[in-house]
Amino acid sequence: MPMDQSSNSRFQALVVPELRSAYSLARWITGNPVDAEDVVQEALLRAYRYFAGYRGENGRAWLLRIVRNVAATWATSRGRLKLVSLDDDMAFDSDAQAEIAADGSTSSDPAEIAERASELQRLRQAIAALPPEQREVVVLRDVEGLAYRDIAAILDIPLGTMMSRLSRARDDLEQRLRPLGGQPQ
Amino acid sequence: MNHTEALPLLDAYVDGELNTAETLAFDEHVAGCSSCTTLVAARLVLVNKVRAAPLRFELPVAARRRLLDRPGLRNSRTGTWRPLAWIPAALAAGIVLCTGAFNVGADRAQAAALAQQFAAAHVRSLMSGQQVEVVSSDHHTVKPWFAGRLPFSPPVPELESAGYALVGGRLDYVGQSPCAALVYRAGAHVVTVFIRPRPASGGQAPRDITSDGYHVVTAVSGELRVVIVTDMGMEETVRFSHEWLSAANR
Repeated sequence: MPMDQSSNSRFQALVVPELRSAYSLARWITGNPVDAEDVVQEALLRAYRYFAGYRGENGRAWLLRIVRNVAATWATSRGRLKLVSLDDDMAFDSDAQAEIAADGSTSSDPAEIAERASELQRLRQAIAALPPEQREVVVLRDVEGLAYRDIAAILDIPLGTMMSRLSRARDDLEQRLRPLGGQPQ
Repeated sequence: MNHTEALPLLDAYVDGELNTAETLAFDEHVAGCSSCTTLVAARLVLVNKVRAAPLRFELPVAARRRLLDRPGLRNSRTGTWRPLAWIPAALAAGIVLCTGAFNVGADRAQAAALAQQFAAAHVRSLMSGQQVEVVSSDHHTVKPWFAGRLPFSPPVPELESAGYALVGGRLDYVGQSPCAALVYRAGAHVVTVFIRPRPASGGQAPRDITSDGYHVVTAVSGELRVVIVTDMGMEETVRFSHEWLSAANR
């Protein structure tokens, strides 16, 4: 079912640029790069197949919705909708250091870089440790920066449900990120 | 707005997702509620921290290439593409799509075998070191060279501006018939463009395949059949094909 050319260029313009977001979401949901790529591959094929029927303009929300559905199937079929794998801790750590070191705006002081990297890692682990339903809401809102309406559509839940999930997720993050030994506010 | 009404709107307030009336009412409540003031402040700290952190997992370049290395997903803008190779590519990857009926059988196998012969001719030329018989980056030299040797006149576009250097041309025989072979260089990669007339009727057309790391992309330009073989990545191959075809049709 190859697309005609105008559909194909719309697909290239609306969907293909959103691969980065698709991959990041899949990575957050599945917890590892191999499964994330599989999920995005399948999502992309589905997207390609169904694109002719898509009339909207928000390629990102549309693709992420497919990614999320594929990932959900993937998770149920393997019984793996759990925490992000702890095997990834090491990768998190080195990623974090590299990213902070590569960020030209920050100081080159190794101690400061290490401190910021460990803060970043705590944040990543806190998000990774959220229950899946809360994690995806936080990722869609605070990592991808999507509007509430789009998030509710992607997750196929009412706006109110989406809002309460986001609130619970952020309550949870505040708890987890509270300085060790610190007093509740 | 009282405290019970305000609490569930905390995040929407912080995210700027309340409408003007709600925002005003929320502001008014927070101004007189120390507990909400604290909650809003803590939330802003958290949200700013999360947003400022590089939390997105970057798509590795190799993964991006693999994801888009499905011919159906590539950017084909020329009118001369056949609807082509995404079906065999998907099958090769073990992915079966609901594509409706298509002709499976001897024709397809033959088309793939013919494409293989073009890939083999490309590889042979690389191994022999005899890629070109006429060495020139000038189409005014290459085009006349073919004139006395072939019963048709192949287009010889120069693609310098697109980043591909014309190396020259040679005669080749693929599937028992002669064709013009143009050789281009793109960095470390060599691209061979085979050109020959389309038979008036019947005659097997090759189809797009990927074989041993070589992409074979087929197209039609006027009365000519064009077969492009290279070991560049799929996206780059498609870009080359597009540039070549638009220049040839100009």
